[in-house]
Amino acid sequence: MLLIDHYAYNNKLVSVHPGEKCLFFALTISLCLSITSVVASLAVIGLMAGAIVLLAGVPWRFYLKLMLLPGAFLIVGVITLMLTLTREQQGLIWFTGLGPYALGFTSHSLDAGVNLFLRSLGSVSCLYFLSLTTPMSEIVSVLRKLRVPALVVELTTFIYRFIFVLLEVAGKVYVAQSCRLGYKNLSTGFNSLGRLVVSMFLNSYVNSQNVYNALVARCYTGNLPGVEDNRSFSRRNVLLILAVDGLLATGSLYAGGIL
Amino acid sequence: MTNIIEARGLVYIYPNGTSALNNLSLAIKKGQRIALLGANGAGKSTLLLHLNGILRPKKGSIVFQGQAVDYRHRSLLALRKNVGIVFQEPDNQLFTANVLHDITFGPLNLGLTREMALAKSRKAMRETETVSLENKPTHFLSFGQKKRVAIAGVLAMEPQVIIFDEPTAGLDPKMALKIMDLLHQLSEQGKTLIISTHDVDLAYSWADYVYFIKEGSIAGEGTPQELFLRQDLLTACDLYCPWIIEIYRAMINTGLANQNQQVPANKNELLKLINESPVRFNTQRIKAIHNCLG
Repeated sequence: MLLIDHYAYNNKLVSVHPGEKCLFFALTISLCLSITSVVASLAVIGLMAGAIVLLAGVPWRFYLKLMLLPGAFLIVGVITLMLTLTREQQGLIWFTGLGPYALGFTSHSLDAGVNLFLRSLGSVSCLYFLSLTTPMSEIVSVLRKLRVPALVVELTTFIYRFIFVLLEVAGKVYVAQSCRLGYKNLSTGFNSLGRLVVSMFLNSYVNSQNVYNALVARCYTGNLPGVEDNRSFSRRNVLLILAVDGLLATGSLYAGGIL
Repeated sequence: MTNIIEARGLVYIYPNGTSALNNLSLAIKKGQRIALLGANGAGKSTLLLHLNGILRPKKGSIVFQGQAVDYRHRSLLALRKNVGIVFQEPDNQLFTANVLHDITFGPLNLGLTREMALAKSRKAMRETETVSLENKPTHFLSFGQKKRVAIAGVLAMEPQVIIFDEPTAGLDPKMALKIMDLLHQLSEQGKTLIISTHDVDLAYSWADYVYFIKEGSIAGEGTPQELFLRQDLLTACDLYCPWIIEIYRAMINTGLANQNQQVPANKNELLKLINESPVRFNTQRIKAIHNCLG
């Protein structure tokens, strides 16, 4: 979490207009989700990996680890989806007998599973692109420009900020508990964890009041004014994005993708 | 000189029944450097929240530039524009992950244009030496950096009165000194400054007027040189004697200085007193001073 955030502020694309990055993200993820084709999904995964590792300069090892995270979840989920339980063994490519039943894959379920797996991974890599290259405050400023309701924008701002405050407090409480052997075995561990959660709730409650006081002290009247930067869109980048995504769309439709 | 802000007979009871302020009155003149001292739970923080209109007293009133605050929206905004608070915990004050966004928050709330707000914020950032932090997210800043950003956020609103709740708590000595230097600069610009602190040494050499707070009311007030000499009052308020006063007393007791001389207001004046002392040190005297200090 903290490392993702670190790269969001320290990558080679940080000076690029956040609107351009959001455009690239939005176009690519909608293509990835709307075109059912293994080629399209693989192209998106490759494209994003290239953008993140080569253009933004995020170390490939770190990116690989990040991809393993949803990858592991997806593999487990997709395997369960692909398995079919049936009485008839016809049409199964591979199966194992369970009494009168057979548990196995059909060629259709295998296809669907692989498709789903790649499509999800493609979408996740789009999300990673956005979160590894664009600081949250810039994403918020794009949301504000898109006229997203102020309530949503403010909640995003506050939630993002206080994730880190809570993480820090939780870390401190955890260390303090460990120092007094709070996690020496499983049962004390669960006990301590419970107390940690309770203290986080109490902390948040007290802190929210303090934060509100501090906001009001600076004339907060219910809306957060934003200072947008005056960076202008680079025409070259926008054209490049449109070209890349256009190529992606035509290429994958040509290769047999279905919308 | 006229009073810039006054508290008249403040009474405040927290919803859980704790009586925090008990008929507290004070009057602060424009340009003063005020220190509020008192033990934990004496009511210092509650008083500060009243001065900025965040808490409303059960009885009594806050008077700003001769006008009583009536707690309507407009008058509250006017008060908060002119009286800024730097809170003890910068994490409570920094509400966004973006330093510039946080510092411009106040000026934009005042209805300034983006350009004006940015100009004032940049000036505040220069004064607090936070210019280089502009593009860093707040959660990657150190405590001292967060503190300075929090101060910049208040300075950018250009308040006439600035309140600092425990300005040096949690800072390393060098950073604490830097913050105190900043406070000196602000004072020279003509701002009225109020700090709340437990640090008697800090209060003694920095403030030009001091209030002792005990159980929600003013137990004593005056210049540091007169107030800190009253040992009975210090004991009653659970405060220690500043080291400058202790040395000064020891000098009088050992004959290094006489009582007619002015009480030294800071370390330099104390050193001057020692240098100008007609008596030269010898081992016997040093022993006597040693005994005196216990």
